[in-house]
Amino acid sequence: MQEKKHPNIKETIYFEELDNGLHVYFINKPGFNKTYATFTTKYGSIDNEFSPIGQAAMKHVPDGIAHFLEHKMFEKKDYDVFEKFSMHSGSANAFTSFTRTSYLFSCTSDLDENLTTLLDYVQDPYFTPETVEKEKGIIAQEIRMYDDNPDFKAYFGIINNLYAEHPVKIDIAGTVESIQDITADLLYECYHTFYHPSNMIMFVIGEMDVAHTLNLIKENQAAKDYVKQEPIPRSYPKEGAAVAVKERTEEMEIGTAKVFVGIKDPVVGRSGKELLRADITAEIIFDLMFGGSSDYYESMLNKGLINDSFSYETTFEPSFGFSIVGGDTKYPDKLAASLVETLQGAGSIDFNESEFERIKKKKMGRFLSALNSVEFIANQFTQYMFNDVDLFSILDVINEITIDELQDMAKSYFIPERMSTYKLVPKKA
Amino acid sequence: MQIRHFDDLGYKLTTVKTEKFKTNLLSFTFHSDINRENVTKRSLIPYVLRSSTKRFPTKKKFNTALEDLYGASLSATTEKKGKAHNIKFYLSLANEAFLPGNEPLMEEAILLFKEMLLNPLARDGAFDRTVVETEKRLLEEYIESLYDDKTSYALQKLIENMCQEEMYAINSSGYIEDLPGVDAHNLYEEYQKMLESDALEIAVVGDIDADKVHGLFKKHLNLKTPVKSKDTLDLEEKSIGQVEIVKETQDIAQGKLNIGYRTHTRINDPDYLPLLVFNGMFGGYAHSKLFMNVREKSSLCYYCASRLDNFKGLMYVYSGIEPKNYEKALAIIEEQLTDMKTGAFTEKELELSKKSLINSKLESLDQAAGMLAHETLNEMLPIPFTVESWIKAINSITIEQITAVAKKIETDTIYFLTGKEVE
Repeated sequence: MQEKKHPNIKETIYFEELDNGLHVYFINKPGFNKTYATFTTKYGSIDNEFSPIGQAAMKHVPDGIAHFLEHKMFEKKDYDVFEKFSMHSGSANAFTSFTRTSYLFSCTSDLDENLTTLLDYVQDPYFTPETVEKEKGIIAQEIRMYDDNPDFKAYFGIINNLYAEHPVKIDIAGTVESIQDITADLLYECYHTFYHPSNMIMFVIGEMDVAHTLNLIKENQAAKDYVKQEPIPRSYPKEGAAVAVKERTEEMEIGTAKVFVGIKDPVVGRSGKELLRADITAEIIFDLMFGGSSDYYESMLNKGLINDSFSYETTFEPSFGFSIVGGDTKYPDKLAASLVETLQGAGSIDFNESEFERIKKKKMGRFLSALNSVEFIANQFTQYMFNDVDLFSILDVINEITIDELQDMAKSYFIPERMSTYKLVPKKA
Repeated sequence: MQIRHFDDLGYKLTTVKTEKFKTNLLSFTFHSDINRENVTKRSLIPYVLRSSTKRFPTKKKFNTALEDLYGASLSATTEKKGKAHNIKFYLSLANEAFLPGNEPLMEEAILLFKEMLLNPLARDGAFDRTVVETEKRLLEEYIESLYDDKTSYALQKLIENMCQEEMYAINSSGYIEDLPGVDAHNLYEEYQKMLESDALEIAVVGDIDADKVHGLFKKHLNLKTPVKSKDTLDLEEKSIGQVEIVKETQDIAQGKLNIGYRTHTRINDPDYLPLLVFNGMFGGYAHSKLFMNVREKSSLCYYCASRLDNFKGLMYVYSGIEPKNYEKALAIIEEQLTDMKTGAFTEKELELSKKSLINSKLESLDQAAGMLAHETLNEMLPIPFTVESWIKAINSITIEQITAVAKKIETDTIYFLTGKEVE
């Protein structure tokens, strides 16, 4: 077992790769009541074209299948997964994102039993045509719930403007129509391809005996016949650097308009520290341009163009990346024009050293604050690790970034052809 | 976790020492009875205070000062709790032990809070007019945006309908129609009233030295008044003739079904804990009757759950369904409640609910907010619970206690927000 100490945040991370390829990580948190564990596959909504295990040819699967599979993993022939956890003071859940599917529990006793339940239920699929059909009704209502959510609609609205081909544009749950094509056989095929331990990470955080817990996982895995596997061939469509749609407006049953301006990152294939640096550099630029201490924020507030819903975010992954800024507004056209103009001017900003240092301080404090949450640590660590990034190197990276890197990125990232505007406006009576 | 209370500074100061976190949390709560007449002004005050001070006369300058304190975050909010309207501020800051330089962040944070509370941008008995007008606009836009979140909009409408004769119907965020009557002067008067009459509670959670923290507050924020008491439980009741059914149609994809009940049970009642266990069995968890029957067995929804308000004695059931399944869903939900009342449940269901409740309680104590919630709860009980005695009490609850508390529950109002293609 390897051990990596991070003295600046008083955490130690333990790691081992098992014979079957599973990567296992532990963080010991003495004094915590709760232990939190995630068992995550590097398989999300964007992985809709791949070579199924044992086959050479690429295969395209229906939109929403990774999320559908997540739901169906809870169905078992002769027991109820939630109940099994609850009997041992555990509480189970799962989620699907663009790039991964995660099964998790938290518990306040019986860690061994709960970990065993987690490993066993995720490694024992049970799908029948009847149970798959029944799930379609439940997931259709989940999709309808999101259909009525304007924030969700605007988020996917701007991503669809940015991307023409890449599956990041597809709703994670798919559509009520697309999930009708999902069958038990297709679910098994996706399952056997992506739920191999070689494609998964187990992360356990809480008060525990690390050696004992590792041993439990090792023995559980050794008893199942998995053989270490090569990475899964996946294919993402070719995506141009320019945006798919420059500008689009949709209507909805809402009272207040929403405006989002997005920028698409055309660089693919970044990973490790390079990816993290780009991500944090972009975040710092947005903090400086649009944050609560920026001139822009103050002037837009005073002009009445923005309110407390104003926000921005950056997402950088190896196969896609984008930044989004915007919020609710009474003046969608004015706000959109102003945001586009400001973003287009980023390349000529002369960043101020003392403001830059202040934002760095802020990012450090906020990162420490995020580390209070064991859920944050487990989920972020796993997401980063799939991209060969160490979450705990963030403080170092924040420290290392120079103002020159900011200037470079401001020039290379904020390109007019890569920007798009999405407006969601109240339906006219 | 070591808890200390101090009451020599004109407010209640609670310190919770724990090594679990890398930050320290300071929470400030101003309690007052909720009142339709001043609720909008009270909703505005925290945002006006949070926007500027004499020393930091703009939001930009105020936010800059917070960023300089390693991204300390200061948030303002209001809430309705029972019959109380609370104005709250949370100040979260990094523990200096994890930072280069060892700056005394705690003392600076207390000074910053004091500046915000006692030195607002005001003169001649009035806040700055521009600040007030900006915050009025922001509050108005916030209240308007509540319409766009259909799930919480439907729940708010349910409460307004079922409690229309009661104080509880008052919206804690205030009312747009009041805003034209709010000005820099009368808002300042309301602010002074808040300082004079509200019961203030301050709590500090983190890896702290309680005496040192108390010393800092004594040095910088000694109000030199007696501690005021607060009263939160809302005892207003209503006799229900027949169940009220309200339907509203909007252009939406999914129907939002909300049912309001009277539990006639509050935190200080003897059957408060049986009610918690009841709720876990009925609709609180993924093994509950609502989840198992409305979702898993009938595939009618993605979510169907129940939630308690124990400051008022209410329960809500909420679910998102196809509009055409309204009658079906309603019938299944009612059947589950009947089963709870008649004892048509297993020992196992009881056991699962107890275990889940205990698990949730223990987990909540890993968070600063959960630690404070446990303390707040204890204040309202005749005999405070330790974590151990609380667990013991939950474990001793019987089937008879569950059916007894279930039988007290009455359906009050059904609110259905539905799409256009109904029937």
